[in-house]
Amino acid sequence: MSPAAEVALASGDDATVAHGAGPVRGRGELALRAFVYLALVVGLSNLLLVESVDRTVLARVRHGIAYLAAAVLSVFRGDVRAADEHVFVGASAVQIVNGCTGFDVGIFLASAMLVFPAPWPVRLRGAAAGFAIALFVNLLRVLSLAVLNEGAASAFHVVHVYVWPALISLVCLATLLVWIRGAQTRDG
Amino acid sequence: MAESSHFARLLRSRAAWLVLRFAVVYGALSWLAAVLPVYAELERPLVATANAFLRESPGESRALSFERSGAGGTYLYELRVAESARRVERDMHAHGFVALLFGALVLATPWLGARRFAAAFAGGAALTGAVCLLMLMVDVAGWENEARAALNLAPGARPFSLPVGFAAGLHQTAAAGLLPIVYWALVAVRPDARRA
Repeated sequence: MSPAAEVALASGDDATVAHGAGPVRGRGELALRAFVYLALVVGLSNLLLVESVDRTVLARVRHGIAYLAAAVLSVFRGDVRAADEHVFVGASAVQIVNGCTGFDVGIFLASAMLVFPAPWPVRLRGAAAGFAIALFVNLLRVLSLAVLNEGAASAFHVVHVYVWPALISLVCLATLLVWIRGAQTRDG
Repeated sequence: MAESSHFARLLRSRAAWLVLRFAVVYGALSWLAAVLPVYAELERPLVATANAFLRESPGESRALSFERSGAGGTYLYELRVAESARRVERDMHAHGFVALLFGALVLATPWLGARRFAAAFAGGAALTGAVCLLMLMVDVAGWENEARAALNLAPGARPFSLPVGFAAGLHQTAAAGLLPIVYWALVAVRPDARRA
């Protein structure tokens, strides 16, 4: 099998991704799906900025992540506690802000699955799984950064700025590709 | 048993190799960005473009510039209203990480053929540039509000003729970097169903 068999550019032969998803509409359909995707991510991302959403939903999520991270870390060390949106490890603390909830990453990943030409049950399961994976990876990110912040402040910057964005991108790319492959296999 | 064979198939799949190549290339590019002023150089054309989009009106002028310092830099935003002026200085944000992600994905992808590659790359590059520019423009909109508040002017004036408020959510986190990844995954590297 040549790499070209694996790497196919969406073009007029969109039937390769549209089994069971209605008639082939080629580039027009691809453009429409891209537009819907952008509308979804812009709309949902901006929803996270609404004050009432922040107060009623995101604040609880930030608290939840802080307490969950503290609970996990307390298994390994005794000097861990959570207070509001902060995780204290020893004398240092990290604050869970909106960029640390994983919701934004989940929105970008799940939206891609929702607009992909696959049967709706497959899309919905994929979106739910994608969101869960984004939240889980984000929790790992918070745990690692909380530990590094206490013991290795210089490594904290490198891991925060360079390593985790790469890892999250990797996980999202892998999740999306694996899901696409699974969705197509189910389509037959 | 079924799960283990599924996992084995996954490991053998070209999708797994693509992800692995992407990891290696992105790691290399990130290392370069850590030791060379890559992000600062990527920021220059963004600042120049954003500056070109700034709105001028009678009695009001705006200017955005970028000063390199070490591996990073500082944004300088100046608002002039009649005789008053206010300058806002902010440390560089590495908006260019989106370009690094996209570049790594392109380099990690097997050759698509010249025509297909050109079409996919052009779309992805345009998307990447737009995302980076919008993130910077949202920053500038915030600095405009700060400058107006410092000058005791009413808030709400838009520094750009173009609307950028819709991008505020994208800018909140680095998740916008996933846009070109999703684009590339859906447009250029989707597995071919005919093999299934």
